[in-house]
Amino acid sequence: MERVIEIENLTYRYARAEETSLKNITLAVEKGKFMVIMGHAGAGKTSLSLCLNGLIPQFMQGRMQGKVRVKGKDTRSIPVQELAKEVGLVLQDPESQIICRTVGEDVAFGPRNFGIAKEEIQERVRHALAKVGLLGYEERITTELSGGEKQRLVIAGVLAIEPEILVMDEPTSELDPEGRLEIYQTLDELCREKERTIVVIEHSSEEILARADEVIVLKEGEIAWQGQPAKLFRNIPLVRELGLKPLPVSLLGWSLYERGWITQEDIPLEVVNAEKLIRRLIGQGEKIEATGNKADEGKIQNRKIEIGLKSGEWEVQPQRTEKNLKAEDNQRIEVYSGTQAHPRAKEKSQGSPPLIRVKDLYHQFASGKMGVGGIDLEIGQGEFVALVGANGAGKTTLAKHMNGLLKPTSGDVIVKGRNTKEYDTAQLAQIVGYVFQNPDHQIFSATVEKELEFGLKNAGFTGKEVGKRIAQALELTGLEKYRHVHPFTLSKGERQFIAVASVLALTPEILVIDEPTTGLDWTGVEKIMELLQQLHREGTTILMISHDMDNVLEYAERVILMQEGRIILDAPPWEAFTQKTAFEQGAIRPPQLAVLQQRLRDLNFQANSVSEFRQSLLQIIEEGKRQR
Amino acid sequence: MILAYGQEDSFLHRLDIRTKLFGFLTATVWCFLFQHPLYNLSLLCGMVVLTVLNKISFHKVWQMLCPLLPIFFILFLFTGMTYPLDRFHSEIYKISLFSINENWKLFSLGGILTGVNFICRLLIMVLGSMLLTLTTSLEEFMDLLNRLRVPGEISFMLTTAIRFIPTLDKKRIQILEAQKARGAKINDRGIIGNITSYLPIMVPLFINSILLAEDLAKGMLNRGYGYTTSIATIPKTPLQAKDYWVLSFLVLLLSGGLYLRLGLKLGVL
Repeated sequence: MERVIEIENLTYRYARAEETSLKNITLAVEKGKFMVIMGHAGAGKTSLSLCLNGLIPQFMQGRMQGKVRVKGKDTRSIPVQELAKEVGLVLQDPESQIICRTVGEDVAFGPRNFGIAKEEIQERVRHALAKVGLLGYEERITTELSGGEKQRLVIAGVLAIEPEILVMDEPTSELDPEGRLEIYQTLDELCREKERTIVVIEHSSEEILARADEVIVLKEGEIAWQGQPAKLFRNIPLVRELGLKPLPVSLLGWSLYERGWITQEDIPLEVVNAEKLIRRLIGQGEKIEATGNKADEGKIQNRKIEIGLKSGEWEVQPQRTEKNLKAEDNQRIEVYSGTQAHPRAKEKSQGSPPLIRVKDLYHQFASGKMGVGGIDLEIGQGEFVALVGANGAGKTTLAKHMNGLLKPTSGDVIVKGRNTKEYDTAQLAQIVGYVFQNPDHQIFSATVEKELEFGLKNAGFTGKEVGKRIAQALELTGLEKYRHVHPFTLSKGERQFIAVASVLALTPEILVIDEPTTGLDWTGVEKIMELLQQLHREGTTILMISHDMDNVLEYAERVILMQEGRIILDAPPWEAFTQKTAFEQGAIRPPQLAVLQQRLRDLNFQANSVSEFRQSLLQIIEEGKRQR
Repeated sequence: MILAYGQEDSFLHRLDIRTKLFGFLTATVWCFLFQHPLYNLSLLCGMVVLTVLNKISFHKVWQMLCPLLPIFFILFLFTGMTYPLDRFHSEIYKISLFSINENWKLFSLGGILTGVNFICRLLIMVLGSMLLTLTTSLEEFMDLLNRLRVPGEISFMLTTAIRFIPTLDKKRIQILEAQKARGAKINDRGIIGNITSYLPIMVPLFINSILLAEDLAKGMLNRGYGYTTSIATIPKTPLQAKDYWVLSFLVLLLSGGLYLRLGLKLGVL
């Protein structure tokens, strides 16, 4: 096989950086391969991608040692623009890579720079847009595209140059699950052309599993692991050590492996395999194995009917038409939408009025676009609510009403008895803490301590109280050691914690947190979720916007699913995720464990939390084993 | 593209960028020709009519002018009070409305008119550049730069800066919201507030813009910007009839202005 990328002893240190970002990397990528680079935050993934088309060392100032050759060309001596013909690099933030006004013009930007004839440019633009599924968008204005469309446009912009190698830095980090799927389907399409080599940097493990030929895991600038993805994800201690997110079903599998019930190769990575494994362990599997080992999906379907599985929403039943299903689900959704709060919310807030009450809320933007409409919602004291839905479903718009950043066009939002129409955001800041997605939008002080002081001074705290509260918030977030450090010398994950700490210093009763995990690695995600759980235990009401359904399932008590500005579902997570049609409608993929539970419904066990689910599964298997 | 280039289709939108630039130049020369505000006021009126005719929203214009208002006021005050009287040719302009003593005369008629004239000049420049940028797309600017054989580095810098503005404005709003949520009392409608209350906005905006600029530059290099010194496929769009009409009108206006000022010696104070 032809080697299209060759890296030898690559070491790189950014200008004025204390640490080396890449250490002694030696790597070769063969033509036509799908390669994934993973690793914790700050492991050097982005730096490595910048090395592949010469931006390092040509654009970035720093010290590079070693050799990088792309299709035999030395990235040190061939200009970036020329290497761009061979390596298409898609950077993380699509916003900063869209240069022109319309989609067509933007895709043409690349080929135009290379002086390609006008007719051919048009041809290439059409071709590239077709590949990413944006054909017919030529005249659309780039700033009006959705997040997923922008990301696909950026990919098209690079494809129009027709590079043989495509390198993408976290192409899906800011997308909803549906958008993520779109991008990966695009990549699948590109993969089919055997000529193209694809290198992707990715945090999320689920998507890459079936696609990647090889995974490279970087740790502190070095290659810590290299090999097939399945091998990596079956080794949970290794996954944890490398700072990656383990797949929920593989965690389950690991506990089976630890008990000596299965071998490591048996650890499932997909729901289908997990189901098979569990059925085999409890003694239901013999049937399939007898009829023809390793049944495929179709056979499993048949078998389910055979073993008398009660028709759940996850199984497609031939006698049910899609229309019927929709109608059924709509009925079910009816139960939860409307004015009633979730039963548990009522239970919790019995006697006292709910902490947040949203009454027939409508919000229309200045542009005339409807943000949210017809929202009726009650959130009780101490609830942990997850707000989920596709990009643009209205989650953030709804959340911004809680602290008065947005005021209702009609309807009311009443927070702790205060109608947000009559209060400033500054006045509500002590009741409702709001943590935004990007911590860099708020950090402006020279030390972490001063950053925390800002909110407190705004709230009118003085003297000892300020010091006390800062100390508390720093302790809670584990930032004490950074008290006098400049925030921008810290990592993105740590900066996210500063943002959280600066809100927590005000000890708000309600914490709104907008996608706390975006751009964090697994260790960071776990830390922040643990912090939220602790706050929740101490009585803080939490409203979390999230795309990570695994987290929602594990931590939230209540899921509110939004679609096109409306609430279409409101239920506890384990109950909510059974509503397949609603989630399809809302463009959200339910988490692995919830799907697994649904598929194993015939086993009749109760689960209201992840640990409960795990426990009861283990119990059932144990019983099954004993019986045999 | 600059300041969210309006996509409406109007007369100015359809004019060639060269014509528009010449118009801008004419307005610039004109407004520095005359000391008497009458001439600049009439030009300003003409431009206001153009703004209305070309469907440019007053909201946008107001947003742009709002922060300049205190500057206008200070400018007016200072020229009115301190403009040296011996600069005026005619005696009537030396009449002072308010004098402390023989040597210190405040608010001479000439001073006030000069103040008004300065404001007119500023308004013409602001409105002129708005008319130009709101009706011209970034692509047209880039084409022009290439046609003028502007070195790649300069057009690179310019395009980067121009592309930036809407994105930065989005950032500004996000930052404002983040600080408000922490209880910052920032009056976003205020003209001059306490400078320190702007620090929480300006510092993150500054940091974010540096990061963005770097990303943008990388993104452009990735797409081969600067591979060749000129973009080969510029369609040579010839000037159209309406461009020639506008150009001849502008030439007339300019020569008329020059004649008024230099030939007839009008418009001096």
